[in-house]
Amino acid sequence: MKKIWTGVLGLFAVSGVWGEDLGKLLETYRIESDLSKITVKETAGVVDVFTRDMLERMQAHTLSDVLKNVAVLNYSRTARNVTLFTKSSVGFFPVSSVRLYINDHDMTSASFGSALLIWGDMPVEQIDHIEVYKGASSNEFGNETGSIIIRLYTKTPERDEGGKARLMVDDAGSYEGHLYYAHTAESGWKTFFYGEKDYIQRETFEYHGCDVRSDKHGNLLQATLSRGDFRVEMGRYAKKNDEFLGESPPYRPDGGGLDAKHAYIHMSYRLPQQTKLTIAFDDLDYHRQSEKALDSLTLPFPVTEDFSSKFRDKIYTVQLEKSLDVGRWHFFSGIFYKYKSFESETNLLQFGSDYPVKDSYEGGLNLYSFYVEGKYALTPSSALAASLKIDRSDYSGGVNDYTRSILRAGYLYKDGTWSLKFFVTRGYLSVPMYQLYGGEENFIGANPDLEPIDVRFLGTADLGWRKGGHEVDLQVAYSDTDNQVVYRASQGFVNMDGNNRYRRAILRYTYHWNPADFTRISWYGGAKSPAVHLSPDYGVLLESFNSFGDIDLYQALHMRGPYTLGDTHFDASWDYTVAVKYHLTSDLSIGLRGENLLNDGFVQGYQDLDGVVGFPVYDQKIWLNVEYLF
Amino acid sequence: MRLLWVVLLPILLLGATDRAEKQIYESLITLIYPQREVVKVWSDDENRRAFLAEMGPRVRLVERPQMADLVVLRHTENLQIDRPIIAERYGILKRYRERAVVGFYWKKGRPHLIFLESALRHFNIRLSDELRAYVVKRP
Repeated sequence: MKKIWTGVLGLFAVSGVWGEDLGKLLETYRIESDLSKITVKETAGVVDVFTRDMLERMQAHTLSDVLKNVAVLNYSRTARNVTLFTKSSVGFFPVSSVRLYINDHDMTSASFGSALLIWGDMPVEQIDHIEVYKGASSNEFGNETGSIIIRLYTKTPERDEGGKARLMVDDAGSYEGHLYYAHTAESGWKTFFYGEKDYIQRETFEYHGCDVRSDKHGNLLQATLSRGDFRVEMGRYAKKNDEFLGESPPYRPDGGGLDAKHAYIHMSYRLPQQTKLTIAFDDLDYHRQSEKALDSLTLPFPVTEDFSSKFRDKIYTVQLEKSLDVGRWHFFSGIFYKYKSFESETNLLQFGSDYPVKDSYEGGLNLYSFYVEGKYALTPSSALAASLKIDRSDYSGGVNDYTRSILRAGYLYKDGTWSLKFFVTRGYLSVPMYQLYGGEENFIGANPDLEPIDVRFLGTADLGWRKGGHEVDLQVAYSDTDNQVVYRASQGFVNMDGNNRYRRAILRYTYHWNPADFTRISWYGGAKSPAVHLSPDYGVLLESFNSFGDIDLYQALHMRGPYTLGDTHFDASWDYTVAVKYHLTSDLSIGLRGENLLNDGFVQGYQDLDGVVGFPVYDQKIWLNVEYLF
Repeated sequence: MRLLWVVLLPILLLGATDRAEKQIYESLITLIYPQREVVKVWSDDENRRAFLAEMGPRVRLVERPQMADLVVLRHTENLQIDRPIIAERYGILKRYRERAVVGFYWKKGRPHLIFLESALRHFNIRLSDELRAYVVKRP
């Protein structure tokens, strides 16, 4: 009798739970199973996650689409059309403080100590999800140090069996084509191939009789092959960007641009007992040409008319890592060796001169690193974490060698309602090679005696509360750095004496309509001591992810506060993005993505000889987006 | 106890939730064995075994497929056993089309759940009218 009741109740339960709700249950399962749940490393710092579902509903197509809506970090662009971060109230970050990984591969160039110069506007159709760690140390990822760590994870053959084609065009004449295919063969080989080609037409501005252009051509190929414990990834990204304003003031662009390529291969093999061996190689070409129209200028000092610089990097990496679980302890440790070679060739023609000046030089770095992280579970809901990393940098060619360490400790707590984590870090940020090696002419102002930036203290905390559909999150951070590297016209790059203190806060409220849909408002602000106001001090970001039947709707309104650069005041900016997608079938969708729809988005100020001039960072655009899964 | 720590800590600290997945498996097991108080299950995947071990008293994890009432397969391609199978990969589903009652796998970036008509008939499993929409003749 009992069995019969169990059976009847069981069938009843099945009918109640399933039936027409099976589709919803699978959708909830898809949301709950986002790969970020596996890859996010909570001990690595305060993290913002852009899940696959979010990226798809945003109809994000470039990394810029994602990074421009990271609270407190302002994704802007330099006079030479490179996308870099500023943070509230201060100017552009030191380039080496931001690290970008695709899966486990560090995309950083040796010359510039940053990946954003090449990869900052990369396509993201092949990307499953993105994690942005703020106030990180990199110890937990076993690679080079950085305070902002952006990790991108590609889609996997395990989940993406099949292929996808995506075509986008905008109202300005831009286009993007994306194609990927994933397959697991009966032999056990898992493969993922991705190809992309784009032409991005940007708005052309007129400035002092010159056309200021920033169009882009790019193409990206990536592949992943794996079988059992062996995995190999490779990729090649090539792009050409117009020069925008160009080399240092006076800004009179008359052509030029960036022609950059980065190819890489990354092989890993999982050995027994949670041990992993990695071998990787990177080959980068970075050629920048700046041309100026200066006929009408009469200046009392020489200015550059034509400037060409080529950088060639090669990076070799060998890495061994091991994880170990002992009772309540979890250990992660590793060693790596990198050799970075760097060659540069610079040609410079000054206004009024018929003879170009040439310079070529090279450099090299042997980087040895050892790191260990320990995590101790105090209770099932709380843990202590600590990590240590020691880096030895041996440079060739008269640049100072050094040994630096990074020490970090933290506490993590999470129950059904509350979460808390805080970390304190003592460390450093390395100096990019282009600031260390200058050749005989030293056009760039390199300084072989530069010391790494000393991160004397970095404290971050994240307090979260969630009940029902309501979620509140408070993130705060405080940093104290010394030895900042600055550029002075008379000296070139020098270390600056005196501490820089910076504090920031983000307060965020999220209302979850259901497992997939939510509306979120974030207020953020930051201030430096001594005070500067080189970018907005505060901002408010309102985002909403919703679905109505077969229609997905994403909206983002990003207000950045006013700021004053020199004597020029910039009003608060309002960047409004809307993406609407209609699913014609489960495999075919058509969408519209409107960017900077109010045409009142962020304006970056640039210091020219005759004052500050501002240009919008983001164009007003409407994209048509067609996606087909096969 | 040590196993409990190893399982619990990542779940709590990573914030992982698997409620929907658990609900799906509970429903599948009830569907296949509506009258069994305890269903013996075997899986060839380590992560799935850890997941099934947490499902409660109705599911008992066994060491060998021969001891199981229900088999959850992700890797094994030549298992000679006449038990209902939940196939967790599309390739596995095609290989066991006579015994794979359920295919629950990822494809094109989203989870799929289908029932194979021949296997349902072989094991005499009946579905409600709503679920008939998920029955296919061949994968």
